[in-house]
Amino acid sequence: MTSIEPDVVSSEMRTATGPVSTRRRFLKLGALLSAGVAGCSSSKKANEPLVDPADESVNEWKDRPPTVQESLGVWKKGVGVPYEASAPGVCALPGPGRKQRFPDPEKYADVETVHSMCQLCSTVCGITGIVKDGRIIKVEGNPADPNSRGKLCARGQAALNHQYHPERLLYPLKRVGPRGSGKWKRITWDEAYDEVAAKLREVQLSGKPEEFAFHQGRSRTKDAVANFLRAFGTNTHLNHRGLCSAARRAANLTSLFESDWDLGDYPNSKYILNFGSNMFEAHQGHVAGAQRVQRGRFENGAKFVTFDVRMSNTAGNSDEFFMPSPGTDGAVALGMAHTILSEDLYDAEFLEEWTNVSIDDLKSEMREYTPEWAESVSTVPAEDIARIAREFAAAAPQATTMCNRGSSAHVNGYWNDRAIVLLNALVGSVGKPGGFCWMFTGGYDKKRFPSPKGPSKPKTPSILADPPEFALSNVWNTMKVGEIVYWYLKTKRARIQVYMTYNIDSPLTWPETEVTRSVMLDEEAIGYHVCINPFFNETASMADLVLPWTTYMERWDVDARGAYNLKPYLSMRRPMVDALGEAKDVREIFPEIARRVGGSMAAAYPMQDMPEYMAEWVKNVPVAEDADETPMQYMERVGAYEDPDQRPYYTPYLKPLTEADLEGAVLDEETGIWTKDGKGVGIEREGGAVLGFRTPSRRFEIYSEFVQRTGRNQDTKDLTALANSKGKNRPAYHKGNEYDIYPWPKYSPIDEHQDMGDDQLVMTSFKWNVHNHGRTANLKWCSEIVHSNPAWIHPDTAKRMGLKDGDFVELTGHRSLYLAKLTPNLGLGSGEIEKRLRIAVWVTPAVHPRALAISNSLGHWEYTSVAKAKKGNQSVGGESAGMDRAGFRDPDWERNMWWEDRSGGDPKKWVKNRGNGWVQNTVLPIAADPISGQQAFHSTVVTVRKIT
Amino acid sequence: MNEAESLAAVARLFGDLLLAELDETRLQGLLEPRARVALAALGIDVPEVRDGGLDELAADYHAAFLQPRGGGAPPVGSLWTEGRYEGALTVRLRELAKSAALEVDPDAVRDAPVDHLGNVLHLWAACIDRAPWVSNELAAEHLAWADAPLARVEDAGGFYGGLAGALRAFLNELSVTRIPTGS
Repeated sequence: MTSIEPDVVSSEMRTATGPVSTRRRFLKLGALLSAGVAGCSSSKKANEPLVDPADESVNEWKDRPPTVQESLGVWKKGVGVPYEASAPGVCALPGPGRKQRFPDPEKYADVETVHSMCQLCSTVCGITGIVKDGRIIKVEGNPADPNSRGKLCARGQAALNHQYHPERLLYPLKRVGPRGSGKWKRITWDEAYDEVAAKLREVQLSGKPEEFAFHQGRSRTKDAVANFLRAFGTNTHLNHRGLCSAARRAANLTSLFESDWDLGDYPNSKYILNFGSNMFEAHQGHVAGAQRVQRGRFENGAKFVTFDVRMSNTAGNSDEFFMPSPGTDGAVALGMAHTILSEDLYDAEFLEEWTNVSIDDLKSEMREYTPEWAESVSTVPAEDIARIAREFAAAAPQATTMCNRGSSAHVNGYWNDRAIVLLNALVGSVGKPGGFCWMFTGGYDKKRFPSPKGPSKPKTPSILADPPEFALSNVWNTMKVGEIVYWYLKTKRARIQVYMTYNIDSPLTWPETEVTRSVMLDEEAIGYHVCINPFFNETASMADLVLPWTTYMERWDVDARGAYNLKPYLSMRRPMVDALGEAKDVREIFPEIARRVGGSMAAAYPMQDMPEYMAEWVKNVPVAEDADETPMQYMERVGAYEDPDQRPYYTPYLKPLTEADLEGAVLDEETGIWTKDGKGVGIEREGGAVLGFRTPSRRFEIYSEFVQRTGRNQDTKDLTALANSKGKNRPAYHKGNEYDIYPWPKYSPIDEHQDMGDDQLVMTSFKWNVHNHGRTANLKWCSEIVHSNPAWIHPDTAKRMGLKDGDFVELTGHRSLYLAKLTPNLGLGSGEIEKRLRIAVWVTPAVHPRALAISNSLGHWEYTSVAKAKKGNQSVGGESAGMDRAGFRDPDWERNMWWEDRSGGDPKKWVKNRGNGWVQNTVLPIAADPISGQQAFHSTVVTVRKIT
Repeated sequence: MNEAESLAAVARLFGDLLLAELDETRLQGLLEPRARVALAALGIDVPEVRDGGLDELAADYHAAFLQPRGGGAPPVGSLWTEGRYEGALTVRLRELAKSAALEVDPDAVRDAPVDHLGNVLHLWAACIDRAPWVSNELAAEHLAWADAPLARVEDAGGFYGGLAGALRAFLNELSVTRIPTGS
């Protein structure tokens, strides 16, 4: 350092306005420090500044320091520009601090664009980040993504709120006080890695690798997670599928085996029959799906009919909308099936050729399900049920059903969805253009674009990942039964030594909040809990160690979602900017932990530089011979790849078998099935051998011997050999949990819905178009739109209960009688949930009179001040140098968070649309459908008591 | 020793204390009698700790300066000027550092944001000779926001409350300090 002469300083430096003694005290301290007293200089080395000469990458003056004039030139570029004038992403709000230059004509000058993928919900749309000065100033849809095609929903538009949130978790934290006490200290990554590795080694030494449990919410980093768990040797890889889509998947798999996910060919359809899907707001793949539904309607004249207990935006924007009683979608579908069969409106050729039942048997099975019966069950008029069935059949084969959690998330969800799927077979729209379609792979073609090789799956069984009570949850896909995990731990049927949670907020989003909370705080049930998340959420608050995870704008993945073009595609998530703070992706965290655990785990985990690993993954993306770029460079330039020569996955069952396919194959004359080495390869039809469906009968299975035998824990190897796609026996430890699964579609009434009291309703759940389940309430742009979730209640019901808009009620949740009867071994019983929920009501005709609807996503007690609708600690208050001490200064938040609830919990003082909402799961019991493991979010009977 | 260098030494110490919890070595240094007296004169009471005391101090540090849950007061400029990370202040500070051919060493500052007050203090100290106009702009234009978080921490008391109080006074000194630029 070249020192400034003391005399120059003393003559030119102006002195402080404060007491001279204060300045002298600082000078005295400074003199001591400069003399080396107290070792109080920089933490790097004594007297060495933390601010260093810039390296060549940022220093324009590589060979020499800048001259004064050069330095001043850079400095002058930005001198005197007020902060707000250049703050991107802030709306032109009214008030004294509003932007004066909006829109800013220079905002998009000198920007870079980075193609990537959204991950604020499950739809993973293609996005493009606009990056300027090293930070993202806008995120928009990438038109080159073949699935989302440039569209991006409100959540995705709020990406900046997520990326630069003032309460992001940026450093590893270790708890200092008791678990859940809220006392933390920052530790280094080295300390964190060592601690986790030591805990994992203890699990290894215990000889119980399954007691290392990994619990994910939304994971799009499947390869890295699988590699990590396989390298360790645990199969306790838990997910949330049971809370999401298990019943629908099981219903599809029953008939198709090949795929669990139907992808209606909506743009080419003439009739879309929607049972409880909220495609326009929240369905998995909703951005890709909704635009194709609308294209089908407006370009192809498709009719769109919705059945839902609540008028969602999808229902309200349908051509026709009906409100069935909760959990009776299956009855409506069966009523339609009856009409189609009894009026001979079915596709006889398809039924005879391509299903495994006779028309006579089918008619016999459906005989009792008349539209009148369906009306008596569902309240939907019989004449409408019959009329819609006729319209649906007339539109076929360009007709398809659509369903999701509305029909599935019931204790009888599997049966609802099997009845819905059946309709497509009756009218012969299965696999046809405009009909009920699916893909051989979820999104990208894993055979053509395999992820780099990792370790193989371990053999150790896991009772938490495959609980024995749930017959079909894991025999095709590993659907798990996430909602049962905490109950198993509570009842000591399992224990976890190390629990690693990843992008999950189960205390808020899982049923029966108190069970989740008590188990997560119980160190006997969960020995050690490490939480990986970008924000300090409810899960983190109950952890021992919290690791800051990157946002989706800071990490790598290869990804795709159910491909609505019916062609596989591939997209890439790539960092738009450097990670903030010390946030790291699991692709960096896992190998380092594996390295420190050492031994076989370190040897098994593929340690590769990340861009190199990604390049290997996409190496089969074809690039033109004359193109001067690699596949990786193509992905960087475009963001996604879809093979233009690939035909849509229509009628795959008609694919002719080649001579090579048939070489060495044997034909069973009785069934017409071709087998090779005992495994099914196709089916003989008039005109030759074709692939057929990938089921045991090589036909679309309306009748399923497989599910019947699986329920009984019988051997199904002969069936799965013929299917030669998916399906396996239940493991031996499932014995004793036999369950009678009827092989035909049927209606299965929910016991507790039959004799409800006058003060009882069926509580249903829903999701808004600006939120996902538990990860968006922290986004201020989204939460300003929706932050409160009072219970929807029909005017007739309100009148009967003496309720008016804004009144508060107390809800008592009841466990399911239906489940208590069918899965007694779980010990859940049939009583009340101990906790009560006090919530405001909104009186609206947009909900069925027997139902009460409460949205999820809200009611956080952690997860940032925005999610809690808290501006800050008001008791601090006051102004300091023009700043509000009570909170960060944010024009959108501090000044405009008008929805903070000032009632102090007093219902009489509550103002409508204030606060951050309520947690429905407080009174929603753990209720897993015994067939698929689907959590029944929409079946719970609640007793309603007025309190104001 | 001139005034600017003395103030720079204090800026570096305060920057360090903002950027990291106290460890044993640092704490022993602060407890050195002359340093302890000088710090006490500024309202900073350096505690003597027993078993587990460093953890408690680390928890206090976390609650004061890191707390990612609201309620804390991370001294990061963009949070207080725009309610977000990577605001316009961050961009300007990068430009200022660049104009002096300097950069914040992310490892040394534990990946603290560029506009973390600890970094700003270090940048101020680093520029008093090589780019005094940078130090002057920092002092005159980019420190006012820091009074709000420091006031909140000061209200909470304890070692970090004392540090925050002293820092408020120190920033006040810097804000009226002009380093001659020679032009």
